[in-house]
Amino acid sequence: MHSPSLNSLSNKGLIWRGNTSPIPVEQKEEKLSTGFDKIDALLNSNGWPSGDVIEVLISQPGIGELSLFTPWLKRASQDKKVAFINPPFIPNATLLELQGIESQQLWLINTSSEKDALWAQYQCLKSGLCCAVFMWHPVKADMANTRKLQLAAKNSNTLGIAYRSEKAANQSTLFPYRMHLKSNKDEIEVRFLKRRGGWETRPIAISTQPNKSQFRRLAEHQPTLSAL
Amino acid sequence: MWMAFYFPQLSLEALDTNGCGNATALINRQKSKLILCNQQARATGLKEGMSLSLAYTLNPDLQLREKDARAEWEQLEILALCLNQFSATVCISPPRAILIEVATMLQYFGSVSEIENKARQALNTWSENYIIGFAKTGKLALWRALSKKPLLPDKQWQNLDEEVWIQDILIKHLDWSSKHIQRLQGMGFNTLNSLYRLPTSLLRRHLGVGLYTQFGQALGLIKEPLTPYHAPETFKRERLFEYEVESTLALLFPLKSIIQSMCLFLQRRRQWMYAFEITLTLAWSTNKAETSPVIRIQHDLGSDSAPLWLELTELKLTRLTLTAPVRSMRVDIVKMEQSEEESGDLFNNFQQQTRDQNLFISRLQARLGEQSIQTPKLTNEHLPEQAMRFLSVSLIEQKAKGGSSLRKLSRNNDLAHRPAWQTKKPEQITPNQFQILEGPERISSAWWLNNNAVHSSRRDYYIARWFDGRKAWVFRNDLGTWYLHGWFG
Repeated sequence: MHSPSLNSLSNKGLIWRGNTSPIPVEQKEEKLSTGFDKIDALLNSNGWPSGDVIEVLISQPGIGELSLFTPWLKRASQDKKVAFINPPFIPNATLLELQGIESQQLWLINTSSEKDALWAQYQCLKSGLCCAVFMWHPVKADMANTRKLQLAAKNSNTLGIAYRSEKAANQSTLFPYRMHLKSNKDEIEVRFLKRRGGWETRPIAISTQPNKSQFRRLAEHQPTLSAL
Repeated sequence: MWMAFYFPQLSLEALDTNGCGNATALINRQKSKLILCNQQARATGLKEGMSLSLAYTLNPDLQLREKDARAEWEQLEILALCLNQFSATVCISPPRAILIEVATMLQYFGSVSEIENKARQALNTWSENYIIGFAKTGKLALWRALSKKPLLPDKQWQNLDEEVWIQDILIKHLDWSSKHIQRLQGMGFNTLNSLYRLPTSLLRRHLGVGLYTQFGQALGLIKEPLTPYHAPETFKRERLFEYEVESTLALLFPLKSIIQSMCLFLQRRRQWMYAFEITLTLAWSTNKAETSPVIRIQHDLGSDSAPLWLELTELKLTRLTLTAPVRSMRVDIVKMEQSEEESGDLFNNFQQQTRDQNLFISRLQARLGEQSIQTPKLTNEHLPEQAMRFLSVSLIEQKAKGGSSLRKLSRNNDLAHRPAWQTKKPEQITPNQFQILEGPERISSAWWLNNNAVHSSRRDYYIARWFDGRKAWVFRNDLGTWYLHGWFG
């Protein structure tokens, strides 16, 4: 189960393919989708870009910034960890497990200082053990540190998600992706300020409400109260 | 055939003085004279036997140390462990030599020069100054090393005459007392060959019983009383500092050599270490319990790798603040077990992944603390803050547990209305901060276990629109007080 499959080696470009026809559509969607078609259409990588750090600008935590990544994490976290470094709140492991992200794949890392937090972020990104590393950065970010984090993510093919206050929108960073999130009732407005292979985009409305059918599918395998 | 390694600078090397790069010398306090000088000291014109006043005149920055018999023995033990990989028979020949039997290992290594090359590579970490000697007996090999005439034998070494083995060895180089050497030189005996030509009775009369026995042992006529060295069951080291150490990072320098020795000990005994402790003795403390702080360094998968343990130690020490200067330090192995032989599988990287993961966890815990990295454990409790507990990550536990805890969950449709973020504690709010969208959902816990009167065991949860547009998860307890408990983030 943990040995590298031909597909994973092929995705890393380690296998030369005689037939260069694209991967079948069904397989592509299953493996590489972000879970949101509108975002997939904007990202040329067809999925959240592993190997890069995405900077997510938010007005305040709790507007849907985690739900945006959970569909992708369901598949990515099967053999790798998801690290949260100094999150402002506790991730709801019960909910995440029902969404297909096993609780034992979650790491919650707490540090006492900003310096240690940065060190832990770098270690998590560098190790290659995590599929995604969730980080919370201050408004004022250090260029040298962001560069180090981006290089670590690139070398280990890990997705870094750096949340920052939208007050930092006027500051430039070295991260190749930059998104601005805005809460709009049951939806969030996602606007890419910076992305690979494309220009700044207009805001797109994304619904991150839990899909109840997903829970029902899980419920079929579990004892209900009436059954007990 | 035997191979002897003579370490002329052993007394200084045992005191960890080589790495500092300063001119250092050992002194005899009673006679106020230098006993031994390192290379830097020699470069400034110092030499053994020089008086202390003259030495300071030549080099005012000279650092003086005294002999430490225990440190010398520990250094000899480490050198013996290091050379143990080339022969099963390794003997310590105090005060400054190691003898190894190599005739039985020639078939494995191919030639004596091959053994010599490999031994030189292995000794690089432990000593810079040593002289090698070969001979058919241990004693004679040591004499060849002392006289700096190694005599590298060829494949036909078994046919060599005794006179060839002892040629070119001057009596003045031997480990005999200066009184005996002077007496023999006074009689005209300068080489071992000149003694060898004497008739036995005359030789015995000139040498006396002690030296005659040594001569006989060197020639192989009398059996040598050599005891093979066996590594002890455990490893511990103590260092008494000459000066009080005020910074934790300054402890790294002596710790480096100790950890390297410890890992060599583990490798030779085929053991993996899981944890070791550094006990510091502080110069003073207001609290009795804090006079000897203990630093524990651990790695759950175990290892005998010195770079790994050094890295973990450095990470741990960078976080430590000393309340007082350190006078001495003791290092003890807390837990070690027989190392496991692993079977290699090119197509299964699970073992490697487990190793990497555990190393990563150890690294984080060493720098950030034992509780710094946690993973959630789901329970069957109803109250949200009790439904998951964050425990310190232990890979071994996870492996034992295995599988998913999804089966334990129930009421999945209700959980669709739960937030992605949960606040660390319920935070009291006022009703005018939000507007209710959905609810209520009653959640009750075992009232007889509830000790928290503020949050109550019976709660009515609502999904609410926060005044700034966010979706919040709030509840009201029996007393009618409202609390914020999560965000639909």
